[in-house]
Amino acid sequence: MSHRVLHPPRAEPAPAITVNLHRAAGNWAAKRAGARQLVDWEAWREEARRVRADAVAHLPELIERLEERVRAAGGEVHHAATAEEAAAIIVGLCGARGASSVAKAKSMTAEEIGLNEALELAGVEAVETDLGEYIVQQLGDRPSHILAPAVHLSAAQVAELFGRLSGEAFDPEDTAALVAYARGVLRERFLTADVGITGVNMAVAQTGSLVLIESEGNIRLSASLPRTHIALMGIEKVVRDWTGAAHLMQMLPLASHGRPAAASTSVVTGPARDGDDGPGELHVVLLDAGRSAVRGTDLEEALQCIRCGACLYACPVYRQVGGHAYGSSYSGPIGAVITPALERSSPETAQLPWMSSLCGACAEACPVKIPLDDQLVTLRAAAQARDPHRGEAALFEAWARLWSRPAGYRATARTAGKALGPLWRKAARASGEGWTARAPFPFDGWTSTRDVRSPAGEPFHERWRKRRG
Amino acid sequence: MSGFFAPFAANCEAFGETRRRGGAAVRAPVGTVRAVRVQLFVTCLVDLLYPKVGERTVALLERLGCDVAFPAGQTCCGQPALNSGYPEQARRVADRFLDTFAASSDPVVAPFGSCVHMVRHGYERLYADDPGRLAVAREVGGRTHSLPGFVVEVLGREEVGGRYPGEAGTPVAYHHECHMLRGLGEAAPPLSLLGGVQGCTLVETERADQCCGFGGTFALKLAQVSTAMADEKLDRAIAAGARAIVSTDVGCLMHLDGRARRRGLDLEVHHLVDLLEPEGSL
Amino acid sequence: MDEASPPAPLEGRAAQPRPGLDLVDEWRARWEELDGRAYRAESLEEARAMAREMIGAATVARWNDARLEDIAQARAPAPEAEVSLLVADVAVADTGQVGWAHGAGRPRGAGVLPSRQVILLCEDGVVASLADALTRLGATAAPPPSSLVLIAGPSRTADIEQRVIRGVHAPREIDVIVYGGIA
Repeated sequence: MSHRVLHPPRAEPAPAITVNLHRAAGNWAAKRAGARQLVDWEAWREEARRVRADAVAHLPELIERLEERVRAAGGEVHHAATAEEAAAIIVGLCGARGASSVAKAKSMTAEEIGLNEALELAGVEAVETDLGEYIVQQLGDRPSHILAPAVHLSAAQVAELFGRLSGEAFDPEDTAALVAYARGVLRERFLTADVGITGVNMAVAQTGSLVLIESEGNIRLSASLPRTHIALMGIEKVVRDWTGAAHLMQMLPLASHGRPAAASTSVVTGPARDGDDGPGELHVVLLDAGRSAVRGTDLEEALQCIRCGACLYACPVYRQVGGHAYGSSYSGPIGAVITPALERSSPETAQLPWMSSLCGACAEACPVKIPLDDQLVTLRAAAQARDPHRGEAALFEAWARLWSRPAGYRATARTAGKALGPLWRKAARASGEGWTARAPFPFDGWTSTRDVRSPAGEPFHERWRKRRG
Repeated sequence: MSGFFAPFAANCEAFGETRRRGGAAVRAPVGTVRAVRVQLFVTCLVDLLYPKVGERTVALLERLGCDVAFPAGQTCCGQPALNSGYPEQARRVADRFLDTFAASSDPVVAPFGSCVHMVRHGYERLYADDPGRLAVAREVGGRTHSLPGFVVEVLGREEVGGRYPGEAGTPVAYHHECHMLRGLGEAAPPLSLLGGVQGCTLVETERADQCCGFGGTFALKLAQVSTAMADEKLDRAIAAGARAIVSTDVGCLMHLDGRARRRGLDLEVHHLVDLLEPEGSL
Repeated sequence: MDEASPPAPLEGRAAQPRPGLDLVDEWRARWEELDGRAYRAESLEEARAMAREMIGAATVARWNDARLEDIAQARAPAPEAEVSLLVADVAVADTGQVGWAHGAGRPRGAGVLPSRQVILLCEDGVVASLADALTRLGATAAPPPSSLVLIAGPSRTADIEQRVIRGVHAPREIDVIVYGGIA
């Protein structure tokens, strides 16, 4: 199992988490409605899709150009074929600089490669500087949302944690005091860190520039104060030019927060020069880890993702189970797609595409028009083909044989309504006319929590035949 | 079920206005009593579990001047297998659907939006490698309609009357079927038809566009999550003051009704077509 | 792109223009929606006087720019200063953003560490779109400045139970004074 996959998905609602998630999702839905008033949403989505699809289609050439421009601006570029390689490169860079303290800004890609664990093993103390990430790291927990890592936690849990860390008491209702505490602790870290590690929202091949988008300011600090800046990015984050980047720089916050701009956007091109007092070194680590292999497959569009988090809040399954239930660093609908897509043959990820009712809310929310629901269906077929569930496969095979012929279909209906009917009724506990409270296999899963319709004694086609046929 | 057996002519209303957009061209001159021929795709769940929904669909279409045929070869659209990861099995059943409904060029109408979405969208994927079959699927898909979509957008009837089959003044919450709402983009037609119904009032619920948790085999595979989603839906309806939920997807209806019954909730669940019967016909 | 080629202008207006508002007012409306504060001054001198009043006796970390001289009474290194004082290069009517390039005499720490921030901005720097702003900041030059920043109101977090708190790692209160000839 890779760092991307921690355990198989769990299909249980998490009531305590659900309360927070519903609030978050409600806020998101209201902001999204606002965003649609600001811009011509469908035209904007189409343009964003076009920009991202162009990048994915021309990935090798754009990565080559990006590398050339980053180097021309004085930065260094490192290629990592796997997660392990990427972690080793970063650990090596920290070690070579004698770094003992690292300021780390929230990055899902760092989560994907297990960077914190790798740094810890090497004796480098990496402190998460995003408030949510900091909370989650101090609790020994994991982020549960791409943008809101601590969305599964309550203020009381945070107050308890900060009380334990500081030895002082915190009032869970005094959010400002909780934030002020974290600001104070982390401010010291920024001022003393030898290395700053950030992710990248997009990299502009035209000029070799990295765009970093955030709310809190910790990314700007991590990329400004330490002497060395290491930026880790999946290769798919590249975009061709500034025209496309300018569009996505507005689309990302619109999709995430319903506003066309995040509180802080930094554009980094090479290390500090021309009198700039920023980091003297810039290292860009380009991570493949399965991405190139997804190009040219029917899951290619998943590489268009800009990690806005919209599909998570939109997904009713995510809102019930929370991010941790997915058992992978990327959760929600996009996680259920890209994790198995990048892992290809892991049995732990085969169940992920079932974490959806296929309601299509994810695809509708996606600002770059990834057909997430279709891709989940594609992945279900791939999982069945690779590792068939014998009983279920036999059932669908029998179903296809019978229902591809009208006679077979009608025979099923007769069996269900007449022959099976008495058996059904025997096993069943009636629950009002036409309803059953306890159904036999394979419908007992349904009736554990819900009554079910009994098969009609006379199906529609029978009625039609008798009266009209 | 008087409407179902009534002779065609007696129930026929003059078919006037034409479709506004989408669908097959079915134009009839105003004032003439000329039948629009339609093929009913009743769908397997309606056929086997909710046959009365099928009968009321026929009654409504006939009342609106349609000449309804029920091609006997029909079975299912194949969606359960596709969504469960068995495209090959789904294709065999979809072949049966296409063979049945390609035989005539008349529009196909189904009282279940999800199956229409399967035909229009799912078949694109199912037959991606078979250009000949794909062409047939597109031709049939282009004239396959949800019942509300057909009535409102093809027949051009924004309201068709009807009476709520229960206590007068019942507050009703409308549940948007996911595949009709997001798949077919048909948010307005069912609400338009509901607007013409006497004896109930529509209440706005929070997140009316949210999935009820049915999702076909999802309801069996992730039963607990599915149930929690149904509870959210039911609780929001009740919180909004609704005493009934109306939708067009009998999967959603069975799921919500089954859960409401298990919880002993005072909540009726109806297919939209149950409300579109003229007064006194139920 | 040639080393010598000038920055290519980007195209595309984002939001619908707000009827009846000039660019500065459009920008200001959005900036204020983002919890930023904005003021207009007839001239640079008036803007400096306003800044002087806002800052009072607070300690200031500032850029080396003639326009910022003799405003503050007390200077301090950025980590200890109470107020950050700088001159922005652009503001974006579409998005409410304010932006600048770092470089010689324009240190990064002074732009981000203090919890209060006072920014002077010449009215000529207000542009319609983010694309215009990026062009103006030199993002499309070869190469662009090593560090560009665009802010949209104070830094904020909603990481604890979705409660929005302003001022996390970057400034909590930001005053922008737009100066220039007013028609």
